[in-house]
Amino acid sequence: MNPSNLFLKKTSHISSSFLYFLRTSSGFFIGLFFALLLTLIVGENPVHIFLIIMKSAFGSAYDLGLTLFYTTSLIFTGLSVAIAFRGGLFNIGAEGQLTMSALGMVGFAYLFPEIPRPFSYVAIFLVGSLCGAVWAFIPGYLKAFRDSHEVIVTMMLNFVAAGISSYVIVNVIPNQQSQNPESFIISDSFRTNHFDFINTLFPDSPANLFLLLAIFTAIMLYLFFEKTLLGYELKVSGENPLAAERAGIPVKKMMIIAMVLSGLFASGSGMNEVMGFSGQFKMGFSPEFGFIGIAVALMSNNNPLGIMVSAFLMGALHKGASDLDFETETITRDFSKILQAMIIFGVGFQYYLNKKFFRGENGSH
Amino acid sequence: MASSFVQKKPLIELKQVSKKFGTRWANEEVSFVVNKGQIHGLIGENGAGKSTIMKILFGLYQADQGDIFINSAKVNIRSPLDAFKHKIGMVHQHFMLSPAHTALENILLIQDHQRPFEIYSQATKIEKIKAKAKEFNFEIPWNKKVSELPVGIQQRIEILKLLNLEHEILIFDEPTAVLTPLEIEEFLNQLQQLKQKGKTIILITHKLKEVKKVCDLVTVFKKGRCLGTFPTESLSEAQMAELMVGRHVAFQKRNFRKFPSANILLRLKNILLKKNPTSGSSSNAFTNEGKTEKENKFHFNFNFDLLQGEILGIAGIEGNGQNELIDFLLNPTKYKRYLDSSQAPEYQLTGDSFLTKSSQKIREKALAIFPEDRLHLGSIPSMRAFENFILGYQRKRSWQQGGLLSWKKIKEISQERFNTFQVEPKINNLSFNSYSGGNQQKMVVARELFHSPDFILAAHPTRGVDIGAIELIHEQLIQAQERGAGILLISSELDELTKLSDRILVIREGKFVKSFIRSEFDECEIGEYMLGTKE
Amino acid sequence: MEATDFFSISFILSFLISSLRVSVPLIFASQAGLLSERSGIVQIGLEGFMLIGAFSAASFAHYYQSSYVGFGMAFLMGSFFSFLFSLFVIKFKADQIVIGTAFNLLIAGLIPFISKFLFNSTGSTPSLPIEIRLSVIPILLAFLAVILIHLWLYHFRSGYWVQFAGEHPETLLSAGVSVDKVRYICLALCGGVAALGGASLSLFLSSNYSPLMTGGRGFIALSAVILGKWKPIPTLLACLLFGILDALQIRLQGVIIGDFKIPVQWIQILPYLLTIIILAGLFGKSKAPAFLGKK
Repeated sequence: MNPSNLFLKKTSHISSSFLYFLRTSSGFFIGLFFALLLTLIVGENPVHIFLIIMKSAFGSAYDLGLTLFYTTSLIFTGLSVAIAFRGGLFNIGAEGQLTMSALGMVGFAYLFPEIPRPFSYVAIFLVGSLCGAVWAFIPGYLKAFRDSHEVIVTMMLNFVAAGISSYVIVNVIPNQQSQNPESFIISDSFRTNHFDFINTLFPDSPANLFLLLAIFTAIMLYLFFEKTLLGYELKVSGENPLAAERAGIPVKKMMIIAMVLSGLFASGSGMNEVMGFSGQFKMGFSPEFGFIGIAVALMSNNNPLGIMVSAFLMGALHKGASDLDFETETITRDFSKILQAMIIFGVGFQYYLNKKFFRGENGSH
Repeated sequence: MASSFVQKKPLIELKQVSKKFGTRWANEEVSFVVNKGQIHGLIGENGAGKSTIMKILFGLYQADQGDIFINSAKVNIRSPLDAFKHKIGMVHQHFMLSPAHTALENILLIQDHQRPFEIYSQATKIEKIKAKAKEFNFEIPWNKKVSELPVGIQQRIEILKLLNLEHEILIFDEPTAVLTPLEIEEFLNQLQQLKQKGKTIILITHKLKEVKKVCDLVTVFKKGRCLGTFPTESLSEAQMAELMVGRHVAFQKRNFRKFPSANILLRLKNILLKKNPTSGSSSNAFTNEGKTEKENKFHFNFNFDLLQGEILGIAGIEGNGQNELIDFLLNPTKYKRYLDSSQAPEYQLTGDSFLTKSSQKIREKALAIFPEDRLHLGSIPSMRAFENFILGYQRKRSWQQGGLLSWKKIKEISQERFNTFQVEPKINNLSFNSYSGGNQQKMVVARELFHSPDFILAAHPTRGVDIGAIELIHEQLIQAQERGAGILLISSELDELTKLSDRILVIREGKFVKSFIRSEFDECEIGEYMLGTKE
Repeated sequence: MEATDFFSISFILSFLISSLRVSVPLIFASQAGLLSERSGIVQIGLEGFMLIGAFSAASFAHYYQSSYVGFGMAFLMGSFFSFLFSLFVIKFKADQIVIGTAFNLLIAGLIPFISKFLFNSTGSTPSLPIEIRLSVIPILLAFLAVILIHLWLYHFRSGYWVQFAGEHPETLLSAGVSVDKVRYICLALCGGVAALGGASLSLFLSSNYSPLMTGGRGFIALSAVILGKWKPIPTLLACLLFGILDALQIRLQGVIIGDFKIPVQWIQILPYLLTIIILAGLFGKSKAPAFLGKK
């Protein structure tokens, strides 16, 4: 028996859970720390900035509601990145997928405004899911059958989605009452806000029912990976496609399943906005949720349960930074991008440290 | 030590060299000397540290402790460039050639002094290389990409790289692993030739026959330590093996009292494949790791019967259709488009036709696979041992409870099974790649034989495993045969094939060119059919 | 504008010139991406390096009232940031795609942060006077960069190191050349050259920096690398093609053919669609360096 494994097991509870904490979240804190340190350059007090962010993220029911609204979208995009990753694919196209999903929903509501409840909900939900899924199916199919690199394809599809949506929103279904680039507002029969009990907890904020759907999805995905045959086969084909093929697992099919599910989850972000909150497609409604989703998935090592936590942290930081415009003279809301980037660097560094200090003990090879 | 080499002046002397990877000592206090103008063999099991010590000498790794002396002067070799200065060159087990570049470009890369801003393809340098090639009678298609060249030529390119720099000390790491018997013969002659020209050669190998044939001295490694250097003539092959393993090795002989029955277990008939789908534009995920993609010019034609209780050996140079055969057996639908259906092809296994069945359906059969490459084809290295236990059998109902996988049950069964195969450490929740090579192979064998297969597809089952594990695997194969299972044994080791098989089929360019029954086995003749020198 | 205007000589000439002009940032950025990818590092941070180049060029050129200083500083700043990038991907072995994405985010956040501090504006830098702006030199520089990179890669020893680093790094290692060093240098050059692309956006195509002015050009540059099969000259041609599309899109704004107004978005997405089609292998396969993105 390997003595070092015993050592790791027998260390006291406190220190081993501390180690676990270090291994899983040190990157977040390193990133946060260095990002805040940057504010020294412009003559701000990092502690002060941190307090502003905290207050802005959690200061009132409204603030918390907004944080949770971002959290919802980030859970969806985080899950989207994670499932693709587990299937061996890097989906940086969640942004495009959620855009197409949102566009599909407002487009559908424009074409068929008369559908009665509750069919309207089912229909728009299906359309939204379908659009996201199709947009992810394309790179999945190209990867499986044409060996096209999914990173480049999804990235290009992001731009294509942005182009299409900008055209449709501005030229086809604009909001006549507004100067802003946004679509018309869909009929109430497609929106969930009038029976939204989550929203009533956070009055006036955009937090909505889709938070529950996001949490539910994360838990289901966790069970999917841990307990189901398909989840096992998906993980296997992502980790080692050659061995998966030998084990009778249809690898190409798994790639496509992973991507389609990925697009489906990304759609949740679009629904959170369109069905749950604004009822329209506002250009730029997503502050690049798709990309922040990469950080979210990375922080939790693609574990669906961890994604809920990291989405909440990133959501809070994003909301918190948005008030820096008003609260300080020198720092703008763009600071949230710095925060996100630094956290990704921090997590990258954390992986490096883990490899260096923890992995050697197992004596791999 | 023996007197025959005491008077010689040592060229290289290693003193107490140690190297640690993580917490594991890859080399521990290794000391030995290499004499000038001799062929010096390094033998030992996988992971015994013979490659590591040579990589230290070549400057790819740095020793943690110990000294190296060349011509009695202490040297400090920090990079291959330093090694070049001391006229040391190395031919690695996996060739150091860029497949996308031409033979010439690859040779030009190696220089004593790497000057960043000199012109790469200088006429004088090219002339010198070509002259060198002439001197040693190497014929090399200079302007062909390495990916288009056969392994034999690739090896010559590697050797030429060293000769071109006038290296005096040539290290070869398992050079014959990729060669056929005739090519091996030729290669060993080349070594003798190099020795006559005054070169010093260090040969890392696990083929004791070759050591006996060409080496003057042999140094034995075991578990990172050096057990000593011996004149080759003082040791027999059996004694070398015993030193390497640390105990008497009794290779189990197959008992041929149990003959195959007359029942056909597996039948492939008129399987004509026009083109190999893996060589097309789509995913290269199915070509084997480490193998350069060869152009598959030939068509495939698979035709044979495997009887119950028979071990049928498939001999052939790698890349002549063995992988396609394995692939076809496991996933015939992948080849649907390439199959010539006008010839009434048949693929039957235990009486059922599998020609149009999916790979999932085939894996549901009582079929076992010993993969040629356990890490890449037979396991998920990053997943835990018990999760690997259901790989390939994941669809069995017995693992499930209420439609969900029951890991508790899988853990219990796999632990019990691993214990009977003496897998160390005795816990099954470590990641697969944290077990040693031998234990990984044991886990694979434990898994594959768990479901009492009727048919075993054993592809290079003992490649890269220790002698101990070879014993275990051969024992298990023989037991299965005696139980009445049919075994298709695909191997590039003729020793293994002739020892175990009832029949041997030789595969060349996708077709079976010759069949031998046990009484006709002759390694040389089989080798000639493999190469195509005999039709 | 009427459709008939499209066929006059002066129109065609001015169209070609403007195509050439708008391809300059793409040429720089794509050659930069090519350097990185040929050495084996996936480069999706071009957008960020271009942005940092555009911003620092505009700032320094304003401060010193010299375009040359602007270009020079852009190169240095770009190299500095890509050195940080290389630290993460080479030293810490972090995922190249993740870190590339993070760099794009970081720089998009960092510029307004610094700009607010320096100019008390969240975006634009002050405009440069017309006298100190360059008119032809950036075009020449861009072509010079392509020629130099081509010569370097295919004729010089160190250029071959780059090729081997991307195709079979172990071979390079066994020849005694440090793969990491080769990649560090390639990445530093990559950042610098990409920043020159950004600088030509802010100093050559316009007179100041405006927020997110690269508008996805970093990604189009990457498409050009793929379309050009990771070779300098074909990549240049791909950039010129994209330049023509870009110029066309500018010209077509508001053009009405018959009753139909061509939406600019359709032309904007063309390079991206083209890349996907290329990647799908419909126009022959574009083969990436064998070890691109592998560790």
